[in-house]
Amino acid sequence: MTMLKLSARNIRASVGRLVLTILAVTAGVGFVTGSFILADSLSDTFSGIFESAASQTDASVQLAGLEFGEDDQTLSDSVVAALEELPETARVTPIVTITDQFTPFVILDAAGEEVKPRGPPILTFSWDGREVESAIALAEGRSPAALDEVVINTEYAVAADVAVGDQVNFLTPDGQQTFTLVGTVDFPVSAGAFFVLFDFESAQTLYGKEGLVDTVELAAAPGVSAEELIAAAERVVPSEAEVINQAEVIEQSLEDFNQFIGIFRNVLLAFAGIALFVSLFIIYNTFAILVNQRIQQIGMLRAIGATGRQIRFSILAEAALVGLIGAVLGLAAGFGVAFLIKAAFQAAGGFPETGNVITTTTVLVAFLVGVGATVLSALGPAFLASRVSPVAAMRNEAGGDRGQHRRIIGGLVCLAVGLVLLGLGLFLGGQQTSVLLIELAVGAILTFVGVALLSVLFAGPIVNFIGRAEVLGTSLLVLGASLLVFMFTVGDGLPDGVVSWVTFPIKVAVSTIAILTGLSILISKSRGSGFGLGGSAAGLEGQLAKRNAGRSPQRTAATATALTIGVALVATVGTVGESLKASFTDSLERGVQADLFIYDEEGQGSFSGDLADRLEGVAGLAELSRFRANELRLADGDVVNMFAYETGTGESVIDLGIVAGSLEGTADNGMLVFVDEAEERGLLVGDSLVVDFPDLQSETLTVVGLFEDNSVLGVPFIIDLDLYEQHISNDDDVFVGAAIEEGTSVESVKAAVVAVTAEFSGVTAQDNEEFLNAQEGQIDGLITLINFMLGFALFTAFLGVVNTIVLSVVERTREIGLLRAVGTTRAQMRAVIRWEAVIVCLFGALVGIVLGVLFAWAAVTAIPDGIISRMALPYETVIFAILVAALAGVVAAALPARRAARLNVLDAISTS
Amino acid sequence: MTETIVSSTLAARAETAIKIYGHGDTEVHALRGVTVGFERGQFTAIMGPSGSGKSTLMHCMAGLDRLTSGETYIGDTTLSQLSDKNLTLLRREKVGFIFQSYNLIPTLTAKENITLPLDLAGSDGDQAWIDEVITTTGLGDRVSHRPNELSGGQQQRVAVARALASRPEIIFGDEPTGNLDSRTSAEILDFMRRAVRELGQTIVMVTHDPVSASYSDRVLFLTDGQIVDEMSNPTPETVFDKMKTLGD
Ligand SMILES: Nc1ncnc2c1ncn2[C@@H]1O[C@H](COP(=O)(O)OP(=O)(O)O)[C@@H](O)[C@H]1O
Ligand SMILES: [Mg+2]
Repeated sequence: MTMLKLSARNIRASVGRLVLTILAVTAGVGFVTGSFILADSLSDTFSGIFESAASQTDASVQLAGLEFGEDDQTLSDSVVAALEELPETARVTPIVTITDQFTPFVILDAAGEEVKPRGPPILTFSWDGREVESAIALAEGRSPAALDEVVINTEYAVAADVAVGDQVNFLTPDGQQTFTLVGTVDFPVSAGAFFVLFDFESAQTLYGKEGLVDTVELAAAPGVSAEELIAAAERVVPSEAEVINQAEVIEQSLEDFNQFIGIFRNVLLAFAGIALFVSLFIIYNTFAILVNQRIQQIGMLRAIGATGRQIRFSILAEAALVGLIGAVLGLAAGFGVAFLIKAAFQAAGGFPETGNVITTTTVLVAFLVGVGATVLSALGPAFLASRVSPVAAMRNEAGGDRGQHRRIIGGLVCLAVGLVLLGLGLFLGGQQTSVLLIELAVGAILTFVGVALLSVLFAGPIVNFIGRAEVLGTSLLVLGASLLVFMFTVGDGLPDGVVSWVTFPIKVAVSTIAILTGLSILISKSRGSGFGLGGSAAGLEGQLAKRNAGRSPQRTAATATALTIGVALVATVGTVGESLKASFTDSLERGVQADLFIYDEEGQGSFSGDLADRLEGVAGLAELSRFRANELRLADGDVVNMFAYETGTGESVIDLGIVAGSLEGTADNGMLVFVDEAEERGLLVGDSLVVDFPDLQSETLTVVGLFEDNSVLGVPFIIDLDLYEQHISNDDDVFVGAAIEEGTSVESVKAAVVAVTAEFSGVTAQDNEEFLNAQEGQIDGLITLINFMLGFALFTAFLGVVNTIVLSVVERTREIGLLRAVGTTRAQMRAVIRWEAVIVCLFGALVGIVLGVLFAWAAVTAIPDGIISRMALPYETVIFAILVAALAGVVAAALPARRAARLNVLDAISTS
Repeated sequence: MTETIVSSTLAARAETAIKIYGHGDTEVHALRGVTVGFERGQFTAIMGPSGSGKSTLMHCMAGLDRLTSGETYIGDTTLSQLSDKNLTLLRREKVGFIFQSYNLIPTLTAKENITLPLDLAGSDGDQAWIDEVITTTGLGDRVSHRPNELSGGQQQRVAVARALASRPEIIFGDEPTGNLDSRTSAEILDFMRRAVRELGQTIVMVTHDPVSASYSDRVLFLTDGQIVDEMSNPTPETVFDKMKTLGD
């Protein structure tokens, strides 16, 4: 009881010192609860929609699912009348829609440009004006009723700047057409998609589905059960259709959906785990410092009869209380985190509107994680505290570094085990995904812990090196200048996207500050007197800062570790991403001879073969190769993806990188197989295999070659287009490559090609460079999203830096007082603390980058060459990370530096 | 000084206590075979030049540190045979401490600081005794104040009261008045003497100051890790004279 009282009082007394630790717990817990809140809210919203849809509809009629090889079928709308006649039905709602993404209805603005959502699709279907709670509601006007009337969702109306009553110009499968906008609707879960709705009869006409229906929704008459309704409906629907029990369907979709949500939550939790891991270091650090500061008190307690266990308990109780406070705040922060993640996804593409749902599980997890994590990380310090000798109470010195040997041995063990686990995870094939992930996660954690423990060994010398004025000045100058150079040469130069508009000015500012500071340090050093931003670094202040940073390597290492982890992860992601881009560019440059690429960039769907037919007539095109995709069934029953192209001309468009066999014989019932796939299935050149085509005809194909370059097509099997056409009547292409005649300009031919593709909604024609940029853009988008998620970890790391500096200023109160007493000015005092923070942060960032690049190297080596073939460093990101870390040091030091400068000299000296 | 000591009248004793710090080149012989006993109900002062081993002797006798060889006893208990845990329990029940810097817990009130050893042991202690101890401190209602609201003398009285609270076999103090001015020192020493005379406690204290030593019943002189002399019913003058002769 006393110990608990003591713990509580200790917290109250040192609340200032614990604030940042509590914040670190809050950040970690906040991310975890945010993930839960987001996932639960999504699941809640969608269950609501499913359920409210189910409350209106008991059954639905639609075409039965297609077996492999079955031809597409249609459902005649005569079934609607038949269903209406049944006494069991109260309501019969026929619906038609277009599922094919390339024939949507797109609004054209005044300039004739298509108004499209960023990322999500435009959806179009018939609507009978019925509102469904939490799924669809009329916002303004009325529902559509005639062939020239349309309803769109509010977001689309805003984006296209049109209002109810306006005549709106649409691009439709039949060319441009004008509709009257008679109303707008809201879809709470639109996730950024745009909606274009017509009444049923008009939609049939507009979609080219006269006399057809896709789905018929049925509501049972009063007193009729769903089963009775279904039995009755089954008697009147044609054989190609099936009647579905809506409740069962909804249960199934809910299950599917919740499974998806589960994955989504786990991905978020993985990032939350990283942030939490950083918090663990901060908590550990704080308690280690607090124990050190209280060593006399602990010794006294031991002397007067406190057992080691009681001491341990009091520290752990203090940790638990900190964890508890952090958990409560973290729960609150969870809502903010959920909001932020939602906003990020909304900006990146789309995300449904959801409420904020908090469940008991979330609350339990928050407390478990908050208290558990804090107690766990305080274990070490608590254990050390319990071993403080009672004689410590009699001595006046603070506790020194103990257990150096054990720390180094522990570090080596952690590092070794961590690296072995990482190696196993990356290079040992044939493991279960869950085992693999655990290996990688535990391996990475142990490696970080190992490096953190071992960095005591090299923190001193490195910090002494970085801290030298000429080194600091030169590095800042060089790094700042090279960031600018990289931005404008290797990088994208002037900004073009939303993200780069944010980062561009920041990067320019950071590099400018670095250059100016570096210069002023160097000038001050050579003149022997302070000059400009970095003047103090070259003087006595810089000296003192360097000594302080180097004095306790253990402290420096611990402070830097939080930052190291954050920077290492950013560097890993950046390097893997850069390598992916570089490999992709390489293989594209090597493998792609086409000058123009015609494909559906956004929908990734197929488009009518008419397009390629029309292109045949464009002057200046030398070669044209169509690529079509479908499925094959192998002898073992596996249904696999397949590509077909015109052998003979296709090679001039795409180089597959044949590694065994050749292209010879492809046209003669041959087959090309991706090397990895061949390995997996044990296929060799010359093997024959029997495959079924979608028309259920079998063919015996011979493996004529193995290819390794799959960056453009990304399929396991390739066959000849002639063979394809013998079995598959669908003539849609997914990709058309074109080579241009020698001597003609790409621009002019492209203009002619674009004139054709413009008539096919969704299809783009890109030249080589545009194609490359588009592909790289997707990788960049992913990296940005991952970095945003890592941002939480980086923020936590930043808190950690502020935290340790605050604590060490408190600890050095007496020393700071002495410095002030002998004439150090406040500004000088601030500079000492500031440069110390900068040096420590630079150290952390450097170690982080080395680790991150090593991790990335391991990952790149482990990832098959087909995906990443070589390593490339993201210089811009790396340099930017180092400079931001230095700047973070300045910001982190601001508060503690003020405190140090404001210390009352007399009070400071009399503190014992 | 080697006469057999009757243990029942002794609160604590040491037999040929040897303490060596460090190894090889850095070896320091802090105690070179000290044999000494402290009688119940007596106030003993230990004097000697800096580095003579006074603190070491106290730490070892109080069970805070272990001897290199030899034996120390609290009452009839042999300290060298106790586990760390039992040593802690022994300190909790049988030994009190007064530190030079008051070493009070700043976040606990004076009263809570006084009862801390009992609370640590999870016992209520002898309430009448505690009341008596608190009354003797003369703090009145200031016992519910935090240490930083008390004067140095008051804080040290709290520290002495804390040592008395569990009614230990013996109380050790390492220069308990070293941080205090002479008037406050007198006040504390008087308080300690009353604890011995009126409450029947046993106190051993290390001091540099002949005046402080004169409050005790017996003074031991330590030089270079050995007891070189002792004196009963000291006065400041006799102690001062003895110090001068030892200094030669
Ligand atoms: N923990 C220790 N490690 C090494 N030497 C020590 C330690 N504690 C004390 N000493 C040495 O032992 C000798 C006696 O010290 P101490 O008992 O503190 O003397 P006193 O209290 O009389 O000043 C001194 O030489 C001192 O330097
Ligand atoms: Mg001493």
